[in-house]
Amino acid sequence: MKPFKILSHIADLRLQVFGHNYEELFQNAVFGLNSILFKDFERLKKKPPAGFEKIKVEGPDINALLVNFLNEVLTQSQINRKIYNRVKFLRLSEKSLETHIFGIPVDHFDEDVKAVTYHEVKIHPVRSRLSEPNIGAATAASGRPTSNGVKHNKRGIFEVVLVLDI
Amino acid sequence: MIEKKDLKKISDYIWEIPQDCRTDSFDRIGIKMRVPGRIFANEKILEDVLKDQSLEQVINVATLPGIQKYSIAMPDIHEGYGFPVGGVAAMDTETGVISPGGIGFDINCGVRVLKSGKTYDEIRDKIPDLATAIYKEVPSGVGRGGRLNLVNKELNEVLEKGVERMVKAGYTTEEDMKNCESDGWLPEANSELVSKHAKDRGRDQLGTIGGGNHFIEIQRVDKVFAPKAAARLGLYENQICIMIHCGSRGLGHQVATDYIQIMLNVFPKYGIKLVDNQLACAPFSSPEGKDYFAAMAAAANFAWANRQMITWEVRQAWAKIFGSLTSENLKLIYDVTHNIAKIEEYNGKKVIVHRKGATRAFSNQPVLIPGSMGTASYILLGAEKSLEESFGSSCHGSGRTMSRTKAKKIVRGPKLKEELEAKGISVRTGSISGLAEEAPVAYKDVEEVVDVVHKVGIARKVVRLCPVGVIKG
Repeated sequence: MKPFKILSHIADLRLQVFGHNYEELFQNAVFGLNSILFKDFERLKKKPPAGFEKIKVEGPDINALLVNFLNEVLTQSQINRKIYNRVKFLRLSEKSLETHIFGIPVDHFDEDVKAVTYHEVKIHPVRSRLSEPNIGAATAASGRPTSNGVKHNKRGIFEVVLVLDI
Repeated sequence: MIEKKDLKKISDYIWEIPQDCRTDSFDRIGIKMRVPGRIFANEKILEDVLKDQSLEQVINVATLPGIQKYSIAMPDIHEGYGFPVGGVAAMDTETGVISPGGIGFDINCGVRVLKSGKTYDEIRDKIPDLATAIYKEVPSGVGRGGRLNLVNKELNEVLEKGVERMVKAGYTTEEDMKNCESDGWLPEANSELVSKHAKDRGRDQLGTIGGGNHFIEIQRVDKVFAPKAAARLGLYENQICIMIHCGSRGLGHQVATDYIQIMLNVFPKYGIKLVDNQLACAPFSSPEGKDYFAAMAAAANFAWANRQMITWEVRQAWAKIFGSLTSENLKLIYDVTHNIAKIEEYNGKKVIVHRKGATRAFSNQPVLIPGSMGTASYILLGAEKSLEESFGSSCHGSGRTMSRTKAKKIVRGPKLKEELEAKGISVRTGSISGLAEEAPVAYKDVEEVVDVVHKVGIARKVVRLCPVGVIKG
């Protein structure tokens, strides 16, 4: 099973994301967003990035922080016409984060994602029902294994479902 | 889930969600429905609506502070996130809130229709060429910029003056401006309250349609329901018209994103409790409420300018096929917004009317209803009853009944294109899979939707338009 799944919604899209810890969950959410924006993201993921943006995001709680983070990545994608294929977390807490996002210029996007919504967003722990090596593969792509003191769900993994306005 | 038995039937086309229908879950977080819900639907539409979360979302909107009379659902309602799409909510300007989610991310997504002096029979052989010319002239698709890249001063003028700025820039005339809802600009706009992110996201997007469900259609007047009203609008059977459906592009999306984030941080300090964070809001009279309204108005002005720029491009395409422009060619009938908040007065009380997927329908004002791709669209006139029943509002389209994912699974884009072409509809698109997402099977029947608003008396049918050319990103 993949680290994220794209599910249907009557007007928009749902993105289901998994991760062993918040860093991995946030990064997999970026990859899920990218795979909607650019169909051939798997190919782009392997390319060396050309430059990075430093972003700082805050939120009233971890759920809003994830949404705000994804919206900031989306905004940077649209302004810079880039797909960000690597995320390096400098700091991640329940209410703020600081990252470098590494991107590759693209000449188009395949989907017009307007925004990631706060609708029913709730990060929650679930017992692992996934193939762990696949989740690990996403982690390896970040170039950084797992957390630097961020919450780690030892019993299983975290899951979140996001609704994207397209 | 709400069931039909939970609803009170008011008439064949009006259903009510009683104010006391939700208690347990709301009691736990200390909120309640402040007004009943009202749904405009026939039995068939109601069956569809009951299949998703639309009515739960109508109920959630009914809990917002200052909501007046009803939380309203139009017949094209479908599940959104936070607010339903096809919803209307009017809040008291003194005690109520403004919620960016009640307008949506595509601020001032709207529709305009241009009428030509040509009939279908006169130009039917040229329609494929016209569709190609429009496709070439109007940038479409995701991530494609337009012919203008505005510097800050120019962009700020667009944000503050909308279509009026386009008149001054020589892209149109005052005649077009007068045929837009609110004359194509909201004076409450303040460009300083639009973030740099939003400006950067939209500065090269003026005159572009983007992707998704936005489109340009070449249509012919297929049926006249009200000959006198049609004549007043300059419409007659077999006439060629052009419909443009588009909004504020990335700039508007970013304004909504920015201010939902702000509202999410501040709503608790105003003592507001929410059942869904996507309903994030602030009192209309608060600094955050006022700032959002001014930024939303700026994004709305950008959207009007965008549709005006697209109109200029369509006129260029028309001129390439039919020769230089003459005054009788491609006149704007009207331009409506269906994602907006506006201050209006009902029974002496000022309210901020949120229309998310709903069209203003003031008496004798044209109401433009695009159908799903390849099916009919309608021009109606707003009627007096809209003021009593729906805060001067009507439906905005057909309303989805099927997810884009499912539509793509059951409809093959190339086959759909062939079927549309076989029906005499010239299709020009950059995304065949995007075409499948918008297949007619994914939408309610526009005939049924329009029939409901006509029978309730909030808007009256004038003409039906059928597509002969579809241009989309």
